[in-house]
Amino acid sequence: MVEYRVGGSLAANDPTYIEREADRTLYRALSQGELCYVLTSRQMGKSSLRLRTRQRLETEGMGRCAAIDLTRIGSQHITPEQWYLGLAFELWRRFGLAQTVNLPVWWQQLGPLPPVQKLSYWMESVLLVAEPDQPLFIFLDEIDGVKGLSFAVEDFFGLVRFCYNQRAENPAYRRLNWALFGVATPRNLVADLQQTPFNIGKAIALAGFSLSEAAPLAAGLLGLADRPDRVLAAVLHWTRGQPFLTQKLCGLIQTAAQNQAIAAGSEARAVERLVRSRLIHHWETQDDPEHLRTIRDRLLVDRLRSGRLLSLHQQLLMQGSLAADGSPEQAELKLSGLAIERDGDLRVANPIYAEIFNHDWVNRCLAQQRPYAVMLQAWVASNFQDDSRLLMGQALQDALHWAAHKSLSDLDYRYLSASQKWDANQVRLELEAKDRANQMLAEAQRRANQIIWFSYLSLGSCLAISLVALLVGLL
Amino acid sequence: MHADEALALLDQLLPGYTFSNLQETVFSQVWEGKTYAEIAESCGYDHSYIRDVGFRLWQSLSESLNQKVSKSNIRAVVERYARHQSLPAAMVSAPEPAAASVLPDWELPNGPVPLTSQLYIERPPIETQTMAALLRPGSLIRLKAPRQMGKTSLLRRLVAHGQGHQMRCVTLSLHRADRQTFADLDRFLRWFCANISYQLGLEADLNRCWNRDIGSKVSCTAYLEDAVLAQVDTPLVIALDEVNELFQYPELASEFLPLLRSWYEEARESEPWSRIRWILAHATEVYAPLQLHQSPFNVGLAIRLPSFTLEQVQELAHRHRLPWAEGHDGAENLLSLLRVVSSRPGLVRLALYALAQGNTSLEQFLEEAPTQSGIYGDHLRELLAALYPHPDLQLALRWVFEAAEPVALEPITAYRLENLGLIDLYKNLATPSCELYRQYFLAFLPLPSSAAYG
Repeated sequence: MVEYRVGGSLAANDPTYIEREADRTLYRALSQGELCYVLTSRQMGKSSLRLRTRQRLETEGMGRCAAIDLTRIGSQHITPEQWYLGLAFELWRRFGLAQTVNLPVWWQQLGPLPPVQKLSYWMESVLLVAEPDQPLFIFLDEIDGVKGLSFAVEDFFGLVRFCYNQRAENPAYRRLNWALFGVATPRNLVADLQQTPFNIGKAIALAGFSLSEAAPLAAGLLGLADRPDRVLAAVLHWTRGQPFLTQKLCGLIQTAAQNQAIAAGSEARAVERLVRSRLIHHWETQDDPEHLRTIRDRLLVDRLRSGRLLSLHQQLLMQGSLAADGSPEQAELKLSGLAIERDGDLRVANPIYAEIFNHDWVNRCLAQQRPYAVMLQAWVASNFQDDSRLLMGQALQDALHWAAHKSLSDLDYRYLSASQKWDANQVRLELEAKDRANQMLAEAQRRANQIIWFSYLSLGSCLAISLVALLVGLL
Repeated sequence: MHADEALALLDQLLPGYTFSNLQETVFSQVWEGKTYAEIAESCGYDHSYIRDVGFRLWQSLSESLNQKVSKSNIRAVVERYARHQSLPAAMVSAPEPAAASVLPDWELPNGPVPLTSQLYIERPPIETQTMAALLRPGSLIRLKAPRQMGKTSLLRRLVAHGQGHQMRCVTLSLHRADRQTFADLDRFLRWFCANISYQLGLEADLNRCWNRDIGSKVSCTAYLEDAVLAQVDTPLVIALDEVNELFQYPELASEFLPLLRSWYEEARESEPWSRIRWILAHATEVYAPLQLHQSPFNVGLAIRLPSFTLEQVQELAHRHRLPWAEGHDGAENLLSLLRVVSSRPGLVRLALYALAQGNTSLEQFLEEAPTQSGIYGDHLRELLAALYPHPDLQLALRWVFEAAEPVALEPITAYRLENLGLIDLYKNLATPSCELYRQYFLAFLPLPSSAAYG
């Protein structure tokens, strides 16, 4: 019986391996000597594609291959010297050349050269010499692993680019071919446009399975459904061909239908029931092997960015699609796997994600992130009465800035507008108070003047009276 | 001779004898020449408690081996056995269990269920599923369950199943490594490789492949390829028990787990690596800080071991020959037991063992269970001792046990309590894992001196 594979890469001969457009493009590009890279989200089948392509190149005698998972070389405390030598050492072994040269000794003899230069020198004078006839294909997987190192490896990517450019001058380099795989954007990995290999290489897009591509998967449902192809169509409706979800859902159907085969006409309903009960309902506890939690974490882990990512996703949920603009947020959302780009539009990758990471979910996440969470809670606790819990002045301005372009819950808007009103009211009251104070001041002044005039008058009249009295006395 | 080999030899010599985790730790570290004080320091227990565990360990080993065993002569004794590869004749012909005694004396209910025991209860389809997976080249099986759920018992059965299929087997219990081993990646990988070689009877010449210049991970991979896989041409089972020990060292875990994953993936394209079958047993969720650039550790067949069902408990009671547990009324009786001790296999087994001795009634048992003198006394004291150096854990635990509702704990605290099997976690909310613990710890946890937690 066909067994579906959930998580991890598929062996090259696995019957559930689905060949896609990317298989053909990658193979063609590599055999024509192009520098290829496959940068996409997790669990899209990158490593399986690498395995399959490698096997095809080898069986068709196109050359020798070495595949390296970069997480196996780097670690947090590794030095550049160890990393570059480690890479050379692994390549050396993967090409099966281990016995011919004592690499660490050879490396030491080069003395104090920068390690990237040693690697370059090693490729030219040892690797390409040891294998003088055949093309060599180097597959590097998990290249985003380099971001966890304590030093920048821009030089390394520079070297890959250099090797490619050397082809014009040194024909030996024409035999050296590279394919890079990982979860990253080119800009993430190398900021320097002069060093990046990604603007001269060929990007291989890895899309989900189309219905016709996925057809072989129906073999695992034979005998379990009257119309396996219809079941598969219903699966693809939900997964949009996302490889991990497609395999997982097919596996779930396979188990569930052991007891009762899926009758003609009930395919969509049967599949939907499984999607809802086994994937969407309590997804956080059913997500094993981990897939959805990785997407969630990728959205939420960076506090500074997650607000923007969430609101972008929210816009996708509301509008269905947005024009792809290549912004860093859009790129990150695509890398998380949550969004895909098709025909110039960005949209949520499939209905399963849309149901799990829905409006309510986004609202809850935003709620946890709102800068005024504590104040809001206290305000709600006071039954919306305690005005001292509202925002004012700079705090209000900051909150409004944070809320801009987000679609928040009614409670947020109620709180923010109450705050604005309160703030405006406070300002008005302050003005009025100032007014009143001025009036009082003017009044007081007027009174004071009156008193002064009055006292002048009384003083004058006193003076006049006393003058009269004096005159009367004198007379 | 290495501590793991010594333990393996003792397992072989004394098939009915099982070590608890802590006993294994104490044994291994005494073997390496550590003092009790150092052991206490390295595993976070109180010094006097470790001394006590050690004392009782030598005492029971002395009884089983029929000769005086102590901290100072254990090496000499075991090495002597290793040379002769057998026990004195008197020991080998162990007396047949008399029909009258309900349970043979040797089957003490602590630690994993011995391979030969009648008391292992299968939990279908887990056994068949995992054993089938073990026979597939390049497979990986993850056994996930809190303490006292029978992970190690299943793991040993899987290993035995592998041996039955001509596989060479290695079992590494991570709690046997001392704290220093986890201090850095290089040390840990060396420990890992050396133990694999020891157990396979290969020479552990680490320095031949280990090269500082190429880094520890590359060295380790090269070692496994050249010094292990190239020397062993049969399938190989590498079982790692107590992997959760690793999660306490997040930096190490975030280096080692991806490395393990890459070896597993390598099996897809390399014949030597596909000969390895991995088994990993861990008490808690894989808990390592999120590294966005790494694939999560989510490969292979994941098995979450469930508690016993009532039928399974009844079957176990039947094998303990307990007449009051039979039939419908028996099920009712058992339910009153399970309400206190939960249906965790380890705790149930202890209860049935005690009840099978016939000296105590069910009511009496339930009354005594959460006290120092009950059958769970040692187990509960061990947990208390583990909590002793950590007032923060005590406080959090008290909070969970006193609350009527599930309680949200700070993640690391929650993880450590779950690791000890004291709480159940559901969506980050903690509840007491069983009534037994609740009663005991509310009575014996030191009262908090400062303000309440949270």
